Amino acid sequence: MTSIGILRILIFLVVVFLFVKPLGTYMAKVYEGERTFLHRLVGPLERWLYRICAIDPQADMPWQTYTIALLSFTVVGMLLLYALQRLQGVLPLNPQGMGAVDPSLAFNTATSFATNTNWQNYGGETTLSYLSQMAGLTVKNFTSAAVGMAVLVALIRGLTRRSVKAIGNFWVDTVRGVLYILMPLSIVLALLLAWQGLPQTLSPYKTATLMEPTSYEQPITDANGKPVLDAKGQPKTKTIKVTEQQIAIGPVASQLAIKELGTNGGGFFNANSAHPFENPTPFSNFLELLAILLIPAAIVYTYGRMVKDTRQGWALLAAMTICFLPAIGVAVGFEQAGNPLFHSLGVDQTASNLQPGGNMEGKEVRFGPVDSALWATTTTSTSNGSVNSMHDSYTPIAGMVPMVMMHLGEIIYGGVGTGMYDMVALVIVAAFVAGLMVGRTPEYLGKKIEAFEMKMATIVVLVMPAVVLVGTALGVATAAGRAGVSNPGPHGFSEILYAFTSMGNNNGSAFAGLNGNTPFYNDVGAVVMWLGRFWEIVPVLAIAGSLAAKKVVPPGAGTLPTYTVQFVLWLVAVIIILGALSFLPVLALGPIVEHLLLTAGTTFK
Amino acid sequence: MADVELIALTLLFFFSCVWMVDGLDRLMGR
Repeated sequence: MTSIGILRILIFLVVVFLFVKPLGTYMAKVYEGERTFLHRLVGPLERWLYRICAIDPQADMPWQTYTIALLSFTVVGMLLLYALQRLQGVLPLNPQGMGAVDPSLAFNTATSFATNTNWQNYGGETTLSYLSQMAGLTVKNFTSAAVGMAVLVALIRGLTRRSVKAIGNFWVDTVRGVLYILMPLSIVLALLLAWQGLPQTLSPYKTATLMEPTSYEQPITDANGKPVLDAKGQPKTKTIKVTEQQIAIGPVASQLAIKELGTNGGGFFNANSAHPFENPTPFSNFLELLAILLIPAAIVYTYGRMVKDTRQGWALLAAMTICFLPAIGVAVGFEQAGNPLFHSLGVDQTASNLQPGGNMEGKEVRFGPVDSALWATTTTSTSNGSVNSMHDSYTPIAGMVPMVMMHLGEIIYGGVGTGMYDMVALVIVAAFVAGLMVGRTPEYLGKKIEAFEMKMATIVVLVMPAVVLVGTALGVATAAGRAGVSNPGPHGFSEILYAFTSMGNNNGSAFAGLNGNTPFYNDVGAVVMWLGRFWEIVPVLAIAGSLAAKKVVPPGAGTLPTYTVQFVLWLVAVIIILGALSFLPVLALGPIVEHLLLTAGTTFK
Repeated sequence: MADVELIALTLLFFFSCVWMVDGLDRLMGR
């Protein structure tokens, strides 16, 4: 790794941590109903929304009502997004005349955005109208992110309230998340990104005349779409001369801002943040990267503040950072080292004043290996899923890092709530096991951890590996699953594993070598995304309901402090052991064996 | 799959979670 690369990573992390306390404090105030500097501006809009939706903001809900409200809100939004895509051909704001989206693809996309996954089987600029992008995808970006934060806030109330049934009001938590947190941050970021060159327009795509016309040979096909062969059995072709290029534009900046801030990740364009209109400059890259970690890092402090013990938040932040730093080091290190087979061919992969060096396949020249690998690690640590390079082209071990970050549950940092409530489930498991080892009743933040909470935490921890591994097994075992693979050998296996890892974790990033827009991946993927999201949220809210009903036990001599270095290290050990037990065998079949074969000089054709 | 089948699958998603809420509620009550 180069010294300038290390410096860039350090600057990024320092800037992220500078925002942790102020933003974390602000978010805690929002959710606790305290007055903030935005109340005068946003307060009337908030109250108006409650009035027209007939919501009583004072009405607290038990966990069952909270969960049903969340599910109803999600499924209605999902059906609306599905309808919007199917009807976009007859709806306005469609200057390119995009037709109805295929049912299977529309279903996958609707599920994907309802679950905050934002898996991209669609190609934004070739599939969706401006209305579908704005009123469909962008709106879901806001609401699905706010739902994730609402679940965390409900869980925090479960931990802090005493002997009550209610865990808050879902509608109030969601509205506040959108109006006071996501919307203001998105407006600021959208303006900054537009300043950096992202389009923000409703004009049709532009047509440009090429300065250097080009041509290519296009195969001639028959009525069935099969290539027509000549007398020698070779495919007949015709020469196509290209003199013009269509340049896709649209309301990009407004969608990009929430795409990163809400850890959504679904791009306006198919190439996501590798596209020059989504991420044109190194500074826009820095802003977007910062936006990915901004709320996830700050929400850990929010957690500490809301449980009335900021040491708890700092301890979890430390545990997350302990997992995050080595991952960055491995991903950047292997990408900067380059492809070992290229060295023997005499290819210069050394960083110099003339080139960034390293493995540049699948990467944008303006970002290079460091910013690409840093992004890949960051986007999979949180549940973001946007990409600025193609992970399929990474060296095997660097390509494994994003998978590992997702396999750990995307708990680094707290996501928009999702990573944080998964982390709390892991803390419960860690506290329980520690309690068993010393023979004391486990407790966390003064609440006794009993059989029900452990069962729920176990479901939360096991649902993700189950859907990922079963989905991968289906992908490998069926012809429909294997048909999407574009590489033979272990790399092809990695493509399937990555796809189901990403969908099962509601991440949304892609290895990019897999053709996912097939009925198999659209339909099975939708099921995996739904189960990965809501079969975790329901037990998390059940834990909240169960804990809220309990009394608080004052700390005693037998209480395990959960803010000490000892507990942080124990928590990291539990996270790594659970991740390794679940996923080491499949990683051995994919990236690990590919790395060993690559270093031995074996490739697959 | 056709529109109707996919909408039915969406509702199945929803009710799978409602069923889960009901089951966990009973488990909690024990």
